Amino acid sequence: MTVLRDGVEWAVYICLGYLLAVYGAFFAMIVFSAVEERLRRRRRRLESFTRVRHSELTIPVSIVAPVYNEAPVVAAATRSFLAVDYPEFEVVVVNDGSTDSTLTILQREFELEPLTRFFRKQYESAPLRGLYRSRTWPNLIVVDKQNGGKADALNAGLNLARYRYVCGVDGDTMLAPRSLLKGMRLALADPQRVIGVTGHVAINGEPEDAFDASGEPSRLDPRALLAFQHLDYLRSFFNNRLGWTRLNTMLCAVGAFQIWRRDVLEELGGFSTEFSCEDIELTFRAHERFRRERRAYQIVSLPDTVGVTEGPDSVHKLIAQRERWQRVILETVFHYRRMLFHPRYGTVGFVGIPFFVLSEILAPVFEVLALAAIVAGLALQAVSFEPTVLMLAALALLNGILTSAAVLLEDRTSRAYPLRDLVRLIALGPLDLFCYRPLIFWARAKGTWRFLRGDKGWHKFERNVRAAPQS
Amino acid sequence: MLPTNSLVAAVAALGAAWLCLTAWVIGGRLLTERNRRRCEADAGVLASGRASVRSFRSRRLWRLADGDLGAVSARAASELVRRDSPALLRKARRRGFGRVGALRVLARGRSHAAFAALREARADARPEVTAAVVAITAEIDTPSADRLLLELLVAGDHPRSRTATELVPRAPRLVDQLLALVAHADPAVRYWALMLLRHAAPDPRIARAAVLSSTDPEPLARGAAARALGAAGSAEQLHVLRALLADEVFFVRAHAARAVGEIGAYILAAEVAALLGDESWWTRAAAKESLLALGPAGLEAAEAMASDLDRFARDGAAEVVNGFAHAPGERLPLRLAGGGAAR
Repeated sequence: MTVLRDGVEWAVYICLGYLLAVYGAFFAMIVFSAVEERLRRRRRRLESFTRVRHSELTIPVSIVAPVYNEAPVVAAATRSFLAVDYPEFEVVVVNDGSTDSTLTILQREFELEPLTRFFRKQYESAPLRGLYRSRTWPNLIVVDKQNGGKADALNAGLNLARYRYVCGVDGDTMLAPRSLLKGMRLALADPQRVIGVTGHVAINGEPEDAFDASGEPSRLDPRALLAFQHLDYLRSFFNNRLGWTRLNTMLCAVGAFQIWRRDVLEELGGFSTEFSCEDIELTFRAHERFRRERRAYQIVSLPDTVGVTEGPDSVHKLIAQRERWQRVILETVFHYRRMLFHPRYGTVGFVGIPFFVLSEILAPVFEVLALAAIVAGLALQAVSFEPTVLMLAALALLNGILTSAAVLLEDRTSRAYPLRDLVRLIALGPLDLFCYRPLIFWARAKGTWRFLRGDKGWHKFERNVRAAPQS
Repeated sequence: MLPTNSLVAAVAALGAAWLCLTAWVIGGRLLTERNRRRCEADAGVLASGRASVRSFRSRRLWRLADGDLGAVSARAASELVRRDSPALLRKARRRGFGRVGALRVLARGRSHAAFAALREARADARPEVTAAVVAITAEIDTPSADRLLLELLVAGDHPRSRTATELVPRAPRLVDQLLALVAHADPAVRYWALMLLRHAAPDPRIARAAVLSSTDPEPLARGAAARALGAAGSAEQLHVLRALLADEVFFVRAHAARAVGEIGAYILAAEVAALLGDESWWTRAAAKESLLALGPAGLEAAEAMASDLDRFARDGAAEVVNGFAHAPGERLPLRLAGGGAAR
């Protein structure tokens, strides 16, 4: 019995040590994020978007959007891509073998007609079934191909993209009108160094309804599960990605909005189909290549919300999505493990990847250990009830602080969300530990288990149920 | 285990921190919204002529002058300058970003001291202050503003692409200064000078400067020379473009290919078509664009590449031919698909 009690005590101390390390890392990253946000906000306080929009020096961009079974949102999403406020761009929508009416809706909404365009298949992809262009939108091309996964569809789109910058977006993401201008502003400030740009994408159950009259994302979904996901994204972007930008250790340019210099994609060989998800792997590959070759580069995150994407609106869909994300992180970090603490990879090896290992990979291990230690400790009376409750309260408040910091950074940049939504987000912060984290814990544990079993399936969450699109 | 008292203290401290942050978020938002409402109301009053700018307190004027309200901001700024220019100057001379508001008010209020203050601020060497100096100067359409922007372009302490964007509309009146910069020691300055001169064409001096720069040891400048020739060149400079099409650096070839298309130099169509097999994606793309812009000569040159040994060249040629043959509503044959269809 004494051995068991000693074991439980040790487990509790180990978990406390982990908590100190992980929250220490989170708060340290917030400091870097705050510095970056302040700098960015100041730099663009007086800047005129109008001049950039009308300048011939602004480089054209190809938006590539892979879609798979996105019938309810594909028309609205494509319209949002076409409505982007940018001097010159094209939209390449890639239908990745959808089994629903995605292609039919695109054909009907955008008056598609067959197009024969000769192009070099520079990146491998599943065979194409057809190419279409719009009668009403001269800058829209739709590619219909056999199903091959998102990376495969992005590669097919890249084969047709014409411009020097490529913006990969998800088929269920609604872009804000100024998203490209904001993203390309950073790229154009230093085109030789900035090879990739990403930005915050908000979460909503029905993204097409999340914008205000000026086209800025500004509505929070009333459902709690979606609001918690919104918070999760806010923390991930404003607390972490801005800090990663400051340290030039951006670990994931998110698939929902990722601008890449075309020549870099070419050099890296396009998106890899070997991994469960393409975005994080490509970002790691870019770091690995540029750091190994000692070339100056930057992958940066915008302190802006550039669009709204659909989040899962039920627990099982959320778990399916997050389980995949956990697998993807494990796959990528395991694949690039040689970068960890390797001097050649600088901040990526010494800050970025260790941060990922600590906050994402080790989390399920310590969460299981902590849960087991608490249950066993209470049963064996090695841990008393009162301190346990106080510890949980402290953790809840720590999460509340992280959340409030993210909301503060976001609001200082955009001032877009109404005050009542800000209050709601802040109030949800401390509840996150009890209402949302257990789901993420379960998804991570499941994802880790599946990774260990070698599962590489996509397991895309089912589309949220909503009204059929208007014809 | 951990003492309960320490845990209680920790929870209390964390709770207080959370409340403070919450107050910061909500207070900041309320303050911003209040200021915005007041600013809109004041702007409405001034615009309607219901009150004179002289009846406003300085604080209210400041809000208007430092906003984006066009003529109303300018009126408010002028009044602030009239009331207390020395105080504004003192604020504009502070260190750090805090000076930016005062600089903006001075510039909008057309203070004689504005440019001296802007130049002083430039010496601050903080990137965010320099960005603000560029933005404020860009609002002013005077020769002094032109000079300051050119100085910033030369110094490069703000991204030159951003400064150049502000200079584009002024380029036609800055030809002499830009021509002088074409001989600058820094290749990046030479590049931007030539790129800006594109916007000042037609002027025979620009083509001459571009010809001289076409043999610049720096590829950046050679590329910009090609672009300048695309805007200001004529038949006399075709031999220069021909040489640039064969440049050893890929982006110079790409710029030259675009320039050929831009001035419609169909005599060079075959040389551009040869770039369809270039090792660089960018050059190949530029060659395709150029051939399409060249019309029948471009088509002929592309067709001549249909049986080239290089697959890139064959495919690029097919793409160009396809581009020419394309018409709405019809499915087009791949005339030049040959052995490398869609590969």
